[in-house]
Amino acid sequence: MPVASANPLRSGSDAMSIIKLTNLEKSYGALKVLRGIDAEIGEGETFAIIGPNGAGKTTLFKVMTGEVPSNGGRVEFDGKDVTHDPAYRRARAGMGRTFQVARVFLELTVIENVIIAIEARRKNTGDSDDAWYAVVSSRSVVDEARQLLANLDLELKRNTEASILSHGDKKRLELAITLAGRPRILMLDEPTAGMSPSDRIGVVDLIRRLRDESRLTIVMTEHDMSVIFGLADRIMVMNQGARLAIGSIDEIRSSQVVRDVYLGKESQHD
Amino acid sequence: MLFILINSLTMAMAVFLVAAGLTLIYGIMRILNFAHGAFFMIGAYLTSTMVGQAAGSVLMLVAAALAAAVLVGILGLAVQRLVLRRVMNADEHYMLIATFAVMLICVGSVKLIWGLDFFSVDPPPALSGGVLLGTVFVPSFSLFVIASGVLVFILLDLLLQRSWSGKMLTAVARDGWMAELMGLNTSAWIMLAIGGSFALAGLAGGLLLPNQTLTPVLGDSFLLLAFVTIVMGGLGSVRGAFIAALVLGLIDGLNMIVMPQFPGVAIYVGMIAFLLLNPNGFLGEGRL
Amino acid sequence: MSRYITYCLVALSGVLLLLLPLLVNPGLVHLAGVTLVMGVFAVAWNLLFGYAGLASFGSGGLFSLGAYVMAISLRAGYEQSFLLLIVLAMVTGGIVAFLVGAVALRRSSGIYLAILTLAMAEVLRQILMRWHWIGAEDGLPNIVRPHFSYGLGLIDLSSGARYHVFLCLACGLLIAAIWWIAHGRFGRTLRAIRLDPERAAFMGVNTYGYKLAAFTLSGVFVAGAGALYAPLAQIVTPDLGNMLRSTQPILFTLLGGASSFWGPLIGGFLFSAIEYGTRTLVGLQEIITGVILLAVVLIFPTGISGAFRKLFASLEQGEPAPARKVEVSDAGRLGKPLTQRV
Repeated sequence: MPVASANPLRSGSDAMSIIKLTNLEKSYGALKVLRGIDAEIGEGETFAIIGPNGAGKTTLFKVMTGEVPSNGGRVEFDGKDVTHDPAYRRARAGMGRTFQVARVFLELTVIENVIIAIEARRKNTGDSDDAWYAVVSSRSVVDEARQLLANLDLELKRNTEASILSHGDKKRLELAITLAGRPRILMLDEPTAGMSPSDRIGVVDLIRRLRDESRLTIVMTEHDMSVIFGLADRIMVMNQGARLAIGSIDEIRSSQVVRDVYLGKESQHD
Repeated sequence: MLFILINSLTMAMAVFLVAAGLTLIYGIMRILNFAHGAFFMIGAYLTSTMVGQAAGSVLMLVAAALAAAVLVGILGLAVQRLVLRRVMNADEHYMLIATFAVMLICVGSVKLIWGLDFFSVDPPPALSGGVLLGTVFVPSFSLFVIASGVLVFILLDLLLQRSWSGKMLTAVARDGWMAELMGLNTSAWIMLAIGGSFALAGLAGGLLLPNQTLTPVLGDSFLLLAFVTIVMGGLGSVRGAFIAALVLGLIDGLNMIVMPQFPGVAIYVGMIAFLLLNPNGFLGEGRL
Repeated sequence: MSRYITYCLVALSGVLLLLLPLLVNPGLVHLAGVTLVMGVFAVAWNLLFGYAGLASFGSGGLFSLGAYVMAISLRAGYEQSFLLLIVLAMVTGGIVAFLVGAVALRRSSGIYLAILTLAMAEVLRQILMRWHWIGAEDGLPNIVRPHFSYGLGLIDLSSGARYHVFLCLACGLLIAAIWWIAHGRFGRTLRAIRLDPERAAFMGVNTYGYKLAAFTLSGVFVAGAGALYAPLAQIVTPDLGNMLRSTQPILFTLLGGASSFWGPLIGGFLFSAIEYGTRTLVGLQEIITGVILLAVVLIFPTGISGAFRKLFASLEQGEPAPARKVEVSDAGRLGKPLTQRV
């Protein structure tokens, strides 16, 4: 079984593509937020979407995951048209995602958060050995949750209420919830947004680990260029709802168009 | 036929009078005020105390209703200060409960002050008769209610759409923070508007007083219809409420003709069907 | 630790309720029975609100539906199958709730759902009020309390005390069933949906399906409470399903605390106690109830059980537990929340 490696030279077309976007459009009233986006993301690839604020990154994310419906075009996942599937169907098919501001179940403890996610997956895949009326989760569910938390350095905080976790811990818990669904593709919306530099390094390491150790395809939007250049196989640059460029890190780095529109601006901001 | 039409219009305008204040409060504060019916009832009781068993003249009835409106407006401001302001940021279910509690307190107070007995007020002499329109006898009081409803709508609409103060209010309701940034004294405007919305409930109570039986449950019957109206009209929209009231009145009229054995059912069925087809009301939510 | 205290208290109150006919006069026993039924009603409603985050304002309609099914069947002489009639009422409630939910939940939430359910209950009430076959506005009086035999011998519930004992057992069973649903995997998933429906959807949870299931189950138990109510009150009227009835479980729940399973029951008995204590004070009764409700909403948004939990937590840890669920803050500037809640 081939384990996908981080190969910066590989392009989307010669790998098995797991996501294919065709002429994707989205508008809010008269405002066109996405103007016909085309992209293919290969299995096992780490794919980054970048662009200045308001470029449509998050909207593209929402349309891909089914959070909002598109106004035109197609989203294909694993060869199947999922354009009209609601979010939960795409999640069942193997799309896992995180949000820009970590969304976890604040009133529940850390381990309860993960248990709910594991139980949801087991129910959907039909490999649940618990009866629906079981008040206490079965041993195997709890063990799986603790294993997952241990992988993400949250084991010690498993009985803490999620609402009092730090920002970075919430992000990691959200990742744990997402991974509990055993997704085939991990979609991270600005995984390092609003983090302290040390937390940021931790998250980048974590993503790298996921990329290298499992066969996960990772799609991420990101603001911080240093994060992207350390992680991504390929990059798509967006501006004003359109695709500006797509290619390997080197191709993007050397692209004059990108430099004009995005990199120049970004360096001024930083 | 004409008789039923007049009846429908009377009902439509009566409901609009109650709904107008309700939708305004929603537009300004995003609070669905369960206590609105109770304020309507207080307006009716206050007016009845002022005019006694029978109103002497139309003028006297209107004057008493206006006075009741002012009193209810002041009461409403007190409620806003003490309660509504504090729950504005809470979960919407808690806002409903808070206004429900206010309603209970109002109903209790009415029982304490005016007792449990039913009483009624006769319309003033000028309104107790009727006029002949062609071959149909039309009660003058119906015409009075229709005229009041239309007048209140026109005044409100002028105030909200045309005048400077109405535009200000709309601005404040849409984006209070921005309005404040622009140096508008939002608090004063909002207080005035909220007082006015409650006053509208009191006014409606006073104007609709004749031919009503005053009981402490008077508020409930109108409240539900007013809810239906403002939800159909789009929460927060006065124009929408007016249109919705007319539509509901006509539906009720049709109900009288087609299914006289089940009066009052079609209104709710119509509203349910409408809401399912068009969840945002006639003119969409949030427009004043 | 506080969990065991809860169980002990529940068991103790259960025994006390069961023995009530030996302790107090029949009037109070009847009141306790009504409160218990309303408590079950509120617990069933809270399955929807506290677990799935949906507020139905029309549950009174389902309650009266259950009561009417029972009343009509008993008057038609089906006393013998009394236990089956309860099941029949529950199934009817479930079917109606499913149909209503299938339509309403797809299109609306929040205030719209509240008004929509309110209107649906009103339609039912208006129809019951005009339907002469079931007594129109006067309702159905003289409902017999059944006596029936099931193999073991004759069970006679015709006296108030006996029906009370049966009622306690039946309500206990219903509550146990709801407890099971609320605390199992289904309940856990519902809680997740209430806390963040989108997050739950991205875990692969069909949130609409779960909400509909919760809506249906809640309807089943609300109608069950209604079915038990009919022989208790011995009369059913269309006003069983009016707006006040629909708001009663809401009051109980918020008074007792929506985040606790037992909250609605606690709230129900507290509410009844207040009503009973102030029954001779015309007008003051509503005022006192209103003031208490306001105090709950403004000061203890987590209800009585929440206040107790805070107390427990502070006793155990020496510091107050973090506030949950709602923040009732004093909005200094009136304009500000509007921009947030558009």
